[in-house]
Amino acid sequence: MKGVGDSKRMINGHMLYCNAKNPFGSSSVRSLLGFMVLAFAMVLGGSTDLLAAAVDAAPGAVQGAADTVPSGISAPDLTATDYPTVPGVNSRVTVWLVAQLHLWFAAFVLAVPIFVFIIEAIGMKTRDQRYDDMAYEFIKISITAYSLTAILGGLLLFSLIVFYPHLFSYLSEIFGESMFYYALAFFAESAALYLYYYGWHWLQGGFRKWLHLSIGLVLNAVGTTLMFLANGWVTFMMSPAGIDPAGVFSGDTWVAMHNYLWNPINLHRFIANIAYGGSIVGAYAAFRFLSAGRPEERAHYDWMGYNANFIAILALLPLPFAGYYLAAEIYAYSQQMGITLMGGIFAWLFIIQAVLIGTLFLSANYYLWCGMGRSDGAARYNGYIKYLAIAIIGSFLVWFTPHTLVLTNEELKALGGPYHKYLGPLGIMPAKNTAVNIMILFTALSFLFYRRSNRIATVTWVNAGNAAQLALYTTGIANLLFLGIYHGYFTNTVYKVAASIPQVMTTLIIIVVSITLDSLMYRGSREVAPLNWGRVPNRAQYALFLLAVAFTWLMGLMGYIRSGIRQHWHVTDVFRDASPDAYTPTLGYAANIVSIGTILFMVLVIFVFWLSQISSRRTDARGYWKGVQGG
Amino acid sequence: MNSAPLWFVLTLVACALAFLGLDLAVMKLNGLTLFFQP
Repeated sequence: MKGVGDSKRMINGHMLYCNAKNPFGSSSVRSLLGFMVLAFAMVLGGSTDLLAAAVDAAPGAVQGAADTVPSGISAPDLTATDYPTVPGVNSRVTVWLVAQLHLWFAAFVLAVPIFVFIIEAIGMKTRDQRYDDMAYEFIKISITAYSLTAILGGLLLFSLIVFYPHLFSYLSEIFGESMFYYALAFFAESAALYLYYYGWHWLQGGFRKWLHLSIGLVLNAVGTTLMFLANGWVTFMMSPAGIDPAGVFSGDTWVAMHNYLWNPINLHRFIANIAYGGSIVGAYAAFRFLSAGRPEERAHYDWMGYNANFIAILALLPLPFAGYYLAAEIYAYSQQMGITLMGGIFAWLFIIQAVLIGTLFLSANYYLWCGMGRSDGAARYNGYIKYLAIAIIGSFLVWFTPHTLVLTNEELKALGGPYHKYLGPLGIMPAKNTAVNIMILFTALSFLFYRRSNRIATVTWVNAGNAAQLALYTTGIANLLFLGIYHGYFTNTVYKVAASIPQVMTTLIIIVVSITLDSLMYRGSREVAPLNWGRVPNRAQYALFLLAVAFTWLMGLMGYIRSGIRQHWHVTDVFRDASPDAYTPTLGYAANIVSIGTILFMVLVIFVFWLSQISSRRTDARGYWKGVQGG
Repeated sequence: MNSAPLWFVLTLVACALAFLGLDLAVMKLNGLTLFFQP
C-alpha cells in the first residue's frame, strides 16, 4: 500500500521520492520547466555557468528531453480532501453533463463530414446538383455546432483540472504526448473544415471539384484520428494497459493507447456517430419542413429528411453487432466488469436501452411507411405493412423483456423465484440476439418495399425472383431461430456465444443477397409516376424528431453506463476514486441527469437549427439607409 | 422455367443447405461442432 503523502516512483530507471499529491510537482512538468529554462538560456547565448545552473535545477531534464517516453508512473492514493470543490457546484454532475454535451456535439460534427463527403461524391458521379446543395446545407449546420463542440471541450478540460486535478495530472503524464498532438490536430481539423465550407462554391467544376472532395477526405482523416486519440484516453480508464503487477505504469503512449477496449470503442463510436449525425440532420430537415411556407421548400426538406433517415438506418443496422462485440470484449477483459454491466446494477439500464433502441427502429420504420405515401404505386404494398409492424413489435417486446424481475417478498413467493415461468427464458441474450436480428431483417424489408413502391418491374422472371426472395427470407429466419433456440437453450455458454456469429452473418447475407436480387429484378423498371416529394403527413416529421431525441437519450444513457462500470475507480483497479461521489447513484438519479443533459442538448441544437434558418433570411430595410428609397 | 413454386422450392433447398454450411463452418472455426457435444 502506498503512503498517502510521498510515494515512490520510477523515473528513467531511478527510484525517486516525490510528492504525488501535487499535480504540478510531477516529474514531467518539472523536467519540462527545466528544459524550458535550459532552452531559454541557450537562446540568450548565456554563459556555461548559467547552463550548468539550469541543468542542476532540473536533474531529469536532459534525459527527459532525449527520452519522451514516460516510465514508472504510479497512481497516487488520494483522500476526499484532495478533490477541490466549488461552493454550490457538484463536481461529478458538472463533469458528467459537460463531458456528455461535448460528446454529443463531437459525435455530430465528426459524423456530418463523413456523409457529406459521400453525398458530394454521389453528386459528382450523378451530376445531380441537388446532392451538392444538400451536402452544403448539412455542413453549414455543423459549422455552428463545431464552435459549440470546442467551447464544451474547453469547459470539460477546465472542469477536469478544477475538480479532478490529480486524475488529470496522472492521465496527462501518461498521455501527454498524444494530448499535445490532439491539440495540434485541431489546427488541421479547423483549417480543413473552414476550407471545405467556405470554399464550397469557389471550388466547383472539373479539377476544382476534385480538389474540394480531397479537402473533405483530409477533414475526415483528421477528425477520425482525433476521435481515436480521445478514445484511447477514455478506454485506458476502463481497461488500462502497460501496468505492472505493482500498479505502476511502465509502458509508452502507444501501449496505453492501444489498450484492450480501444478498437471495440473505435468501431462502435464510428458507426454510431454516423447514425446519430443522420438522425440530427433528419431533425433539422423536419424542423425546416414544418416551418416551410412554399410547396417547393417542403419538397426540398422532405427529400433531405428522407436522405437523413436513410443514412441513420444504414448505420443503425450494423450498430447492434458492434455493440455486442464491445460488450463481449468487456466480458473478455474483466468478467467482473461484464457482470456488473449486464447482470448487476446496470442491467436495468440495459432494459431502458432496449426500449430506446426499439424506439429507434420503430420510428425509422414508421417514417419509411409514411414516406410510401409520396408514391402513387405504394398501394400495392400497403397491405404488407401491418405484418412488418407485427414482426418488429413482437421482436421489440422480446428485446426488452427483463430476465430478473424486481419483486416484493410476497410476489417472489407467489412466483416461486425471481424468474417468470414463461417470460424468464426471453430475458437471456440468445433471445435478444434472435429478436434484434429479426428486427434488423424486417427493417431492411421495409426499405425494400419502399424502394419498390414506385417501380414496376419489367423483367420476365419477376415471379421467380419474388419466389426466390421469399425462400431466402424463410430459410434465413428459420436459421436465426434454430441458432437462437437450439444453441441458446439446449447447449452450454460456449456454444451459445459462438452461435451469435452465424446469426449475424445470416442476417447480413440475407440483406446483401436480397438487395442484389432486387436491383437485378428492377433493372430497367418503369416508374409508376413521379414521386410527390412533400406529400407526407406531419406525423412523419415527428418520427424524425423522435429518432433524434431517442438517439441522444440513448447515447447519454450508454455514456453513463460505460463510465459507471468503473465504479469506485478512476482507472480500473489502478487509480482509486476517493472523491465524496465515488459511489454508484440510484438508477432514477442517473436517468434524471441523463434526461437533463438531453434537454440541454436539444435546446442548443434547436438554437443551431434556428441560426441556420435565419442566416438565409433577408429583411427589406429600404428607407432606413440613406439614398435607398422605400418600395 | 418461370414457375414461381418451382423456384421457391429450389431456392428454399439451396438456401437451407447454404445456411447449414455457414453454421457448420463458423462453429468449426470456433473449435465446436454444429450440434452440442458435452
